[in-house]
Amino acid sequence: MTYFLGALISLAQGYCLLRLLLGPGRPKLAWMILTGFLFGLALSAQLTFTSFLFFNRLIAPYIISLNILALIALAFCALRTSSPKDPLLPWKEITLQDGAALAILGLLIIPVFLHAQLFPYGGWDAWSCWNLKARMLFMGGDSWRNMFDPVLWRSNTAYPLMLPLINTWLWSFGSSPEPNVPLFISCLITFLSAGILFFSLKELTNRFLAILAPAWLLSIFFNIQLASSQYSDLLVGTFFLLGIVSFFLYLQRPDSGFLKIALIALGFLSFTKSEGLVLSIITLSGLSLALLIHKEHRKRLTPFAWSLMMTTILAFMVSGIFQIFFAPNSHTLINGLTSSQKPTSLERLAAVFVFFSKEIITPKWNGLWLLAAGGLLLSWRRSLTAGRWIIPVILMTYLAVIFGVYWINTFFEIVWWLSMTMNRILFAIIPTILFWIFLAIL
Amino acid sequence: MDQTRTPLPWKSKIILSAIALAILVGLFLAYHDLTILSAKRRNQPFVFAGKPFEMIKFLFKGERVIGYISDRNIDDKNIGAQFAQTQLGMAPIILDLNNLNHRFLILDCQDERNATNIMMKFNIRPIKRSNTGIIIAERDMP
Repeated sequence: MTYFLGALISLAQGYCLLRLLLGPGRPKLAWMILTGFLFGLALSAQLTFTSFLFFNRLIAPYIISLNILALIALAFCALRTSSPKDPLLPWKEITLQDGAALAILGLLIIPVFLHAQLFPYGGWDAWSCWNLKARMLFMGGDSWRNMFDPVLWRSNTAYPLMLPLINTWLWSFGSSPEPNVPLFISCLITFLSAGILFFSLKELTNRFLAILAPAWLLSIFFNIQLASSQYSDLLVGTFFLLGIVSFFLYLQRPDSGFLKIALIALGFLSFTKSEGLVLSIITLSGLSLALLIHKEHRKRLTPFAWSLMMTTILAFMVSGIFQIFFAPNSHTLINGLTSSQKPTSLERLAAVFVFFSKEIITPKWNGLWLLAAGGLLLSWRRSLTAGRWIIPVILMTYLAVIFGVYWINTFFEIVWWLSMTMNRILFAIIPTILFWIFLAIL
Repeated sequence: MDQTRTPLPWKSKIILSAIALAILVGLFLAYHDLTILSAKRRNQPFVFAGKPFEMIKFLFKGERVIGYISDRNIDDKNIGAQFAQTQLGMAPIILDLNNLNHRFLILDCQDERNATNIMMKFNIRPIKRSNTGIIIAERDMP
């Protein structure tokens, strides 16, 4: 149970950080707490990584002390911004509707929790990749870099370490890699993702009907399975959602703090998976384009250019350090454009498109993709105005890159590879697609 | 931030109704699938293949990599899962699949005669044997 003390420290850290970033026009307390919790876990994970950077091993007292110091510093600064009229924790902001929404979300998480209990060690990639890396970090001593050994090529040695570090952070409060911790984290992140989706839509549309968005997400059994599998795709989806959501909150109430939150979320996204890194770069480019093409935004953001640039550098720093100094070259990459032994072909590309077309109509999605497409078509004007056009641009660019990788990398047999991975690529972008749809129809 | 709410357009109402229906159907199907899965789990409890290896990895203290020798088809879903869970249980020690060039070896053969033949051919000494036929062995390295 002491493991969860780490979660509380992260929650407090993340909340205080958000308080510092946002001015008086900040979202309501529920949004702040849920987003703060997510931020705090990611921040704690990156602070945990410094133990490996500086000391080449896990030193639990150092990590715990560092996180507590960070919390004290953030809390001190956040307290200085508060006043009797603007308390640090404005509990009165929690309305009956917010309470009802949290209760509904709590009920929706129950199936995720029950499914997780049936598979306490998660899914395949949890055993062979994410939890393996976490155990290497926690128990490897100064041999933690063994996780990058080519012998472990099945474990995606080039993948970044956000999720394993979150688990390692909580394990630091105990002496063994308890399987309850990754299980708890997967349920928690699912809850935070659903909560951020609802409360963001509520902030932007002021409609309680936004509760249908997370309800739809969590009513699909396949989503429940993937959410409880202890995979990093959940983090990819949640940070991507937060980046997009923060951008639209900035458009609604121009506080550069929201852009900083978006940048930090994208920085965290880049440290989740290789796909997360690609998505973060595409999203950063897309959101920058969406802002800079408007003279009004350029003018408004010029005074903040320096702080936004520094935020971007800091946000992506840990990911950059990992990619440059630690990540090995991928052991599962053959460039089919240049390989004579395993060349690629147009048939391979056609197979990707055919598989994608069949995948989105399979019964396991409960008609989500068709209904989503129908909803966007019916409200096509509202789905593209007020800056919303950037969402499909980002998504289509991302999918184009992913399809390109499937086409060019001939290491794996294509149908097998698609059947193992395409559904997770789609799972990660669902929260943002739901956000887009509900923004258009509410 | 207070926002005045305009009535929802009819298109939005249609879409939201369809989504609400999808949610109800989804929740019913999810409940159904979860019930079936729970019943299956009651009949066949989850066994983490790595658990026995968590108990014995102290035998390999100081080793970074050990060999994992098997005559089973690792591409088979069940065998592959077993190997992945075994690796998780053995972490941070790495299992080098079907590589005999290590001091310590785990032999997990479907046919124990294969394991015996390997040990005789490569002068490998068995150290321990589990009641499921898994053998921990040591090899003299040059």
